[in-house]
Amino acid sequence: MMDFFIAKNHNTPVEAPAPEMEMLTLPFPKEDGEHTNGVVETKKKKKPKATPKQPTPEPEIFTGFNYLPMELLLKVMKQISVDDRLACGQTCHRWMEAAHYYLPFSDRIIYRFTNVNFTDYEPPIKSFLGAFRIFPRIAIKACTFYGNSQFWPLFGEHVIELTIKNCLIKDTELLYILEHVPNLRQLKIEQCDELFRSWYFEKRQSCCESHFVLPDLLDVSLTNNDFLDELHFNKLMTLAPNIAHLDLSNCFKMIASHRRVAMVEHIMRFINMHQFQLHTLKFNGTLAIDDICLSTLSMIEGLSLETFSMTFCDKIPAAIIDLLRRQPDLNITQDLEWKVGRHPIKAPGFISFLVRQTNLVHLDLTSSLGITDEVMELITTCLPKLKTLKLRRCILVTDEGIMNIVNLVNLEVLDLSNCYRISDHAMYRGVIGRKVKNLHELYLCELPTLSDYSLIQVTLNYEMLQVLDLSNSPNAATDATMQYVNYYLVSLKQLHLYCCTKLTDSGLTGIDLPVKPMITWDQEETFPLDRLFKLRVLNLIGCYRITDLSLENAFKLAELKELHLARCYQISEKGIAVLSQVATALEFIDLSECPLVNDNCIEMLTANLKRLRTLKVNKCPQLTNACLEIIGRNCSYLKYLHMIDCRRVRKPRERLANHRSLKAVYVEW
Amino acid sequence: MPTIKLQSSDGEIFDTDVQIAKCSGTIKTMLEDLGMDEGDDEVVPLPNVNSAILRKVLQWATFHKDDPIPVEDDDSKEKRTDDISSWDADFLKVDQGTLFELILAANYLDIKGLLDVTCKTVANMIKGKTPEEIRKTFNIKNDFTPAEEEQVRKENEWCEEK
Repeated sequence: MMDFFIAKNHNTPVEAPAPEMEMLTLPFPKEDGEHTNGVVETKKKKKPKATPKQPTPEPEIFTGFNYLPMELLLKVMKQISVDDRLACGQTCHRWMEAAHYYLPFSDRIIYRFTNVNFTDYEPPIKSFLGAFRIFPRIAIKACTFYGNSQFWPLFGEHVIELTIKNCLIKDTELLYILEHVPNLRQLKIEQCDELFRSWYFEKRQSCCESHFVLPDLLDVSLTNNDFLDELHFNKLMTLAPNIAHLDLSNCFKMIASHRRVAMVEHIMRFINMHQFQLHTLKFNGTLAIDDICLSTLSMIEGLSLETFSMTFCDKIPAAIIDLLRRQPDLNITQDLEWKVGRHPIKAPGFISFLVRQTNLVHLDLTSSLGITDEVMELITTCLPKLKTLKLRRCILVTDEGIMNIVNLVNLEVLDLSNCYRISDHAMYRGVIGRKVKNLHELYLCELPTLSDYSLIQVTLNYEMLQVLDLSNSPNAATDATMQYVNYYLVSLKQLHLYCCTKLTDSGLTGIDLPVKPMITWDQEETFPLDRLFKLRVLNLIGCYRITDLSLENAFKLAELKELHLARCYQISEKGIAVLSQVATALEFIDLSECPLVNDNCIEMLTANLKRLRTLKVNKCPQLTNACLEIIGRNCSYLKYLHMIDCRRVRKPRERLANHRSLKAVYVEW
Repeated sequence: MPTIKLQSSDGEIFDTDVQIAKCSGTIKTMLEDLGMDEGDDEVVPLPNVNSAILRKVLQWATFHKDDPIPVEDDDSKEKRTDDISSWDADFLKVDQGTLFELILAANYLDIKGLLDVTCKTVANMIKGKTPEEIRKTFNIKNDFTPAEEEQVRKENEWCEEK
């Protein structure tokens, strides 16, 4: 019960409104120090079980669910989605506390500021200064910072994750923020070219001096920064003496190669000095991580990584591959050399590195042209602890390479998208099997050879799957496989069937299947899509054979948040009418290029889907000006409206300019 | 059939089959701890449950007396909420006040099955609703001042699932 939290005595009504006015000016006046340091107060579980305190309960007078004991309120809230919880948090004080202060709940909430000016004098920050809750996770994207905001002294103490992406921020402003977030655990500064371009140090040494450090900061990500140099890096690392996870993906792309090499060398030295504390290194798409680097990494004593990612494109000499094949038990060390003709060849750094890092749990080699079947063999034999293996676009991998994937029994995430040399047969023999018990995410995009037979085997073996992506693998996603998916994969949260053009209504609904694939005893049964009751994201873009019949019979999905139906040409008013009644949790709907969508569809969607935040209706020729009026009247939560190329709608941006919640109307590509 | 007597908060006595009464963890421990024997004429007082609710609870327990003992579930897993049996669904077609009392009673009496199904029912009633609708459904008193409510609403606009 460590995470259990009771802010105050919940069985008595809240205090009179007078002191509550203070709450609007100060962050936590009312808790009386009950939860300081962002650590939630623990309270012994009450025995016997909590009931309303005597003598308060007079059961004849029903006081409403306000006073449900906290323990029971949390039990209820555990069974609903984050968005339902947020809605609950808007009803009354106690429900708000339950929705925001209970750690497992607040862990799943993030505050995102996008496209705003980060200043105390403009909303939203202006209004956030009066907030009476905490903000443990904040992501700031495409924002401009104007000076030092009071937000940080007020709320910084509780911030544990902070992302600053593509923002205009000065180094002084950044340091001011970091100074006020003493409990920060994760920091991401991504794509901030201006920051690093203008960040100078008076003296070289000053980058290693700081009057404060962030002792809890373990996770630092500096991806997509071209102008990051040694001094910036030193400064940030000075602030994070206990760093364990470092992400430098896609850095130094646009700078001169000698600068790049110097920078990478500097980072390797840093890794060498912190070898015992680093667990994660990510270098996806970062150039200049070459054989020398990898050799260096492999030689660092004590470096034992759990997560590693990079794009490896070097060619491994044939002679070495040959030797590896003949002597699989060979102990590969840096000193080992092979004589090929007159030229000695050293073991490639990548191979020495892999062989040393036997504790790797997550390995991401997306877009690595250097990954051949031999390397794959090494991976599957040397790295038995792997949980994540991403091989998207490793196009040199063929059947032989994947034969042993099924032996990685701990695997949870597997991505084989775009490895188009893999045959269906190999997939069935090498990848799918009972040995892997916990596979959660499986990505098999753009594999035209993948057959529905393999996919059915997937459903029979991996019933724990939460994410399945079959985009552009139309031969795998047929009506028959959909029936198996509907029946077996009830844990699915995301299902991506982008352009799976063989799919029809029969597969989704189970109605009128020509051949019924599932026969139990002598009963023929069919299963609609809404058996997958946990589904949150469903992508059916370009599945043009889907009609209203599916929407009418297979979309009773209470938790569905995101639905992509673009280019499902046959969808019309009739289907939308049912959809808007049954999938009420929808927040994002894409109906672009559905020519039958008209104003009435918009009326039904906006009137019934109270949570709708994003509506995409690009290229819907039937929409007229009337739909703008409907949107203005019905939508109280809508944030983003995409209305590109709707010829009969005039000036939507201007006409919706005064809409209360709307943040952006997109009218051109 | 051995029976015991349960007394509700308003004094009504219920003659109950022991097996049914033992669906309740609280009563079960009470009987064991106090060493009450069957056939004793002692009355078990239940000061937190009134007669109307106790009657409902016993009705539920009678129907479910042969159910297997529910396993202690782990909180990390998401549970499905759409698997309420039709008998339970009918049984729980009651007004908000009764549902509320049933949850409290199930918790006090430690009847896991009943607690689960009542909480699920509440969860299902919340799904997909706006704050205003939730308040109306559960008769929740809005104790926010208008300014606070506006504040919470504004903050929630920037709040998303991670």
